[in-house]
Order: sequence, then structure tokens, then C-alpha cells
Amino acid sequence: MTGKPMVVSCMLLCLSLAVLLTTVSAQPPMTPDRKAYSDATKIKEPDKKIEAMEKFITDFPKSQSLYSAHQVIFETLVKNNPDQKDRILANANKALEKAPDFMKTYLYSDLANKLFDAGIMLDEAELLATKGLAATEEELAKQAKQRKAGYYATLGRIYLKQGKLKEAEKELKQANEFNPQLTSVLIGLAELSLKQNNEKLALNYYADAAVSGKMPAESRRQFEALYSKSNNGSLNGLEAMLDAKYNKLYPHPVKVEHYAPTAKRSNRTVLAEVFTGSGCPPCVAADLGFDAMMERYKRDEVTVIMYHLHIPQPDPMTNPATQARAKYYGVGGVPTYALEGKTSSGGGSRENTQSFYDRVNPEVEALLEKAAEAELKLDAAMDGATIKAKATVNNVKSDSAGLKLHIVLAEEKIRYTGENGIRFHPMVVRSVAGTEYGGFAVTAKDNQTFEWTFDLGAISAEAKKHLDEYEKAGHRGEPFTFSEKKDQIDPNNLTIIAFVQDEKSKAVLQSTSLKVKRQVAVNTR
Amino acid sequence: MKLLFQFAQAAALSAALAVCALAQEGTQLNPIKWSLKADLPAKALRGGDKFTVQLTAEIEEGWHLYSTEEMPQGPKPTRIAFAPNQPFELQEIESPAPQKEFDQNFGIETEFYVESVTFTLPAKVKPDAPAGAHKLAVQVRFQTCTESLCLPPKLIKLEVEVPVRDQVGIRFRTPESQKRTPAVTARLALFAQNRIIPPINRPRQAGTIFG
Repeated sequence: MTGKPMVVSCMLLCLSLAVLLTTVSAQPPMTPDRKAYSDATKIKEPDKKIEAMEKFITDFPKSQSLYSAHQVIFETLVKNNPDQKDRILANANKALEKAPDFMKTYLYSDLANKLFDAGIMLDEAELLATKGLAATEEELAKQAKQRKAGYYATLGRIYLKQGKLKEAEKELKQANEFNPQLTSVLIGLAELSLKQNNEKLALNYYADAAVSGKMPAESRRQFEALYSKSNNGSLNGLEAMLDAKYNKLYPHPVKVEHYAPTAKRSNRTVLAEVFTGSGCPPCVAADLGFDAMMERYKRDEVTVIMYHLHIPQPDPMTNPATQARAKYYGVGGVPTYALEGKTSSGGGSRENTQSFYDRVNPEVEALLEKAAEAELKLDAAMDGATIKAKATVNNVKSDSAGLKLHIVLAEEKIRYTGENGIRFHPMVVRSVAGTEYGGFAVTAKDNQTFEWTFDLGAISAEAKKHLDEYEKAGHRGEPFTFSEKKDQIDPNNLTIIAFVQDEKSKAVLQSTSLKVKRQVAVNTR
Repeated sequence: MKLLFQFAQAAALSAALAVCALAQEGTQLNPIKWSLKADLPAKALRGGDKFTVQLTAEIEEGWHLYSTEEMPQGPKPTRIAFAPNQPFELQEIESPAPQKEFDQNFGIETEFYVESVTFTLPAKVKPDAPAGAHKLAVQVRFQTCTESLCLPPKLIKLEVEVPVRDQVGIRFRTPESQKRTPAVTARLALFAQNRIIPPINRPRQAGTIFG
């Protein structure tokens, strides 16, 4: 029994360390909070360690490592100051309060065992263990519901086929209650409603299924036929109705506060390049997390661009330029994101969006305080279906021989429901300037100007050719058909992004962006 | 309580490993290693004979190899097939029972394997299979994800050598000129054992197998 809490504790420590290791090996600079926490963990003398952890808690009240700090104080007190019961308990409570949900059941157990092993505060240990057990039971009950939903769904669909409508309704509604995300259940309920002559309700269930991203093509056809029938033979308004449905069913999971620049705020615009896939379930947390950052920061604070890839499913927003940038970064899987050229990977489900945001946002904030290493002036003018972009680089601080200027064309919002359910895709990269999308060599420290013309017709044609060829070749050996090919570009919805990057280290020196207007526009950073 | 601890340890470990895996960006991840082994009888195979092939996947911690069953709304299943135009037929694949767990990413219960899995591929030599040391090629298409990362699906081909001998009983009985000599019989025995066959000291005759 004695060894177990230690093992759990080690695991928790490993997890914290793993998070730290990620930061180190994935290159972004260690954020001030993580550095402070890391330094505090190295202190051996108990009082000084507690003091450093308490200072860390005061200095970084929003840090992800907050619960770990309370846990360390708790452990240190239990070992060295077992008489300070109130303080021990206060730190146990704080650790539990600040821990992410998935850690809580383990924490209850760990804290209870620490007290038990020290032979102190057995009543409190009992309470912690009891609460941990209750939390675990709740978690298991939730899992059981999710598993049962699949069986209710199957039964309901069997009854539906057998024409036993009452039984079908009972089972399908039970499945829907236990797991509202099951598209097969929503379609089953729509079909049931049709059999019960309730077309309005059927439309509603079909619409729920349509925004899930997992609706089979045949059901989509039935849905459209029904919608058209109820709408004087027209599909007008269908997408707007689905937009509203999506926004209602899937509210943004992150609470965003606008960024208040700190005293250390520099002149840098942070560039976040996100590699994602519309059929990638764990990309959801990253996509929505960066969405939230676009809301938190102004355009001259953070620029986010999204490169779509055929990972793990075919993605109709993929094009040769996005694939070239993925190759440049050596992207092995999605989601992968580069903050100022430094890559990290990993996202999660919609439920993990807040923790993703809380993990990545401090890195962005730290970068906002790092001085830019170049100045950029970007002009863009639209003439018919072409956009002439002109970028001037000045005041380059780096002596690297491998500097490049990249100019990117992005569409600000594309509506497409892929397998992961995300309906609105922001800042979708449509093209990257230069030969083989490789940008232009920056050879002077000052006043070097680059021009590039984006021909929307040619870019669209190139995207279509890519999608046609990919569809013809099959997705890594598997035949498929795109439900939609998003090769058409909306000329009223475009942004140009420019950034200077050291090709070798991949570090981004500065970036800027500009919304394309039909008249001449200018932006300077 | 013990179970709770084990679960906690496993979950914490898998979370830690998943996070560690994230640090390896920029390199082409290859968390699933495949191998192929043929279980061949001591006597060499000939047309119509059955044998089995073992296809094994070693799966790194934190990664899921999805089962061979279709999962509506879920990940693409692992697909296993013999490459076309081979003198072998694949019979029904024997797959061990996969783990079933609710996957928050897909929003459904998915079937997957962790650590390692061996698929048994019962095979049959086609009746018209020519004699020779054939390479049996198995194609696998699979998708793999962790809780936080998905890799591009892969289509791989693995090969294993499967020697096939000729339909001795039929071809060597006729015509009269091709009746087995002791030397031919000895060579056939060696061939059956997959051993190197020494040359035979007799003039080449049309219609014979060796020589």
C-alpha cells in the first residue's frame, strides 16, 4: 500500500514533467510561470520550497501548474510540518479546485494516501477517499451511459426497420438522452418522425444530424428533399438554418477575455501557423482554441493561419501550398501548430478546448513581449480577380543568410462541415507566394521590396486540379468522393499575411496581415 | 481501490506518454510496427494446401490501432488483404477481440487495439500455383490516433517467402519418359524441405520440371 501513492505521485509528477518537457523539446521558450514552477521544484530545503511555491502561486494565479504547486506544498507540509493541519487542508482543497477535471479522481486518491502514509489527519483522509470514490463512480456512470447509448441506438433502429414504432421511439430517445452526438440516432429519429407524419420534427432531427459532420450522403439527400418540399421546392435558406443550428448546438467552448497589453508588450505580431484536418477529431480543440485567440487578440497582436491537410481524412481545403508548408515543417500528424516558427503538436476533443487554450495562450503572451526582429510594410490591391501584394522589409536584426519573406493568401471564413463537426473554418490558406510556395530570399537589412500577384482564378483552378487528382488516386489506397470541393474562393473574404522567417531555424522575425479590399490598402508593422 | 489505483496509474502514464509523444513533432512518427510470419508445414506446399500467416502490430503506448470492423461515425477500420495477382487466396481473417471504449474525440464507442495484436490470416495455395519460392504480399491500410493527434493513414505492404512445389503426383506420372528416376525423387525430397537442389546429371528433356 505504501508504494502506491508514491507511484501515483510519480505519475502525476511525470505528467507535469512531460508538459514541461514538451515545452522544452518542442522549442517554444519556457514561459515565465513554468520556469518559476520548475525552479521551485528543484529546491530541497522544505521551508524555502514552500515559500517559492507560494510566491509562484501569487505571481502566476492563472498558471496551469497551479494545482501542482498546491500539491507540492501539501506534500512538503505533510512530510515536514504535520502539525499544520489547516494549512495542509487548505492546500489539498486548492489543489483539487485548480486541477483539471480528468486529474481530480487521481488527486483525491493521492492526497488521501499521503495523509494515510504519514499517519495523520485520518478523518480528512477518509473524506478525501470517499469523495474520490464518489467522483470515480460518477465518471464511470457517465461512461456507462455513453456505452449503453450504442446498444439503445441499435435496438431502436432494429425496431424501426421492423415497423415497431413505439418500441423504436423509446429506444432511440433513450440513446439520444445518453449520447446526443450519435448521428445514427438522430437520423433514426428523423425517419421515425416521418413515419409518424411529423415532417417538421423530422427536419429538426435531420438538421441536428447534418451539423454533426457525420451524416451519410443518402440521409443528406433525404434531408434536402424534405427541406425542399417544405420550402416551395427550393434549398434557399438551408445553410443559414444549419448555421443557426450549429451555433446553438455547439457554442464556443472558450470564454475569451480581450488581451490587455502588458508593460512589456513589444512591437511583435505573433504568427500562429496551424496544420489541421476537417476530418481530424483531435484537431477540434486546436482549431477552436486558435479561434478563441483570434477573438482575444487584435490583428496586430496575433495572426492565425490554418493549413488544411488530408489527415486523417480527405480535406477539401487542402491545396499544394498547404502541403508544401507541411513538408517544410516536417508535419507528421495533426493538429500541429507553429508559434513564431516553433512547432508543437496535439489537441483534443471539443471538451478539451479550454485546457488547450489555457496551455497555449501563455506561450503566445510570452511571445508578445519579445521584440520583433524586422519591420514589415504590406500593401495589397485587388484588381478584378487578382491581388497585387507588395511587402517591404526593413530593420532586419538577424544576420542569418537564410532569411525569407513569405506572402500568404488566406480566406477568412469557409463554411464546410467535415467529419470532426467543425462548420466554420477561419483563415484558410489558399496560396503561398514564390516558386514552389517557397517565398523570397531577404538579402538586405533595409528597404527590400517584394511583389507578388495572386490570381484567384489560377489558384482556384490549381486547388480543383489537386482535389480532382487526389480523389481519383484515392486516399492512401482507399477510394472516396468529396462531399464538396472547396476550390472556389470568395474574393470579398480575403486576407494577405506576410512574414519574415529564418529558413534554417524556422524562427519568425515579424509578421503582419491585411484584409484585402477592392481599393488600395496599406498596413505597416 | 486497487483497480482504481491501476486505472489511475495507467491513465496518468498514458496521458504523460501522449504528451511526450507530442514533443516529437517534426519527425515522421511511426508508432505502429508491423511484421509478417508464415506458419508453414514441414512439407512444402502445393496447390490447394492451406497454411496460416501471422500479421503482428506492435503499438506504442498512447496510440490506437482501430479494429477491422466498420465503425459508423468512427475512425476508418484497419483493412488487411493479400496483394492482387498472387498464387494464394486469403480466407476469413481471425482477429482477436479488440478493446471497446467510448472515445470522446469521435463521440462514439470505438474498437481498437493497444500494445500489440496478431491477426491470423488463413491462406490457401491456388490450385494452379506454379512451383517456386513465392513471396506472399500482404497489404495493410490503417489509421492511427492518440487522444490528441492523428497521423495520415498508411498503406503498407509486407512480404514473406512461401515456397510452393509442383503438382508432383500428376505431372510426374505422365508421360512415360518423365517417370521419376531415383535422382529426381531425391531432388523432390530436397525441394519439399525447402533446401538447395543440386544439379542433376542427366540431359535436359523437354517437358520435365528440372534439368
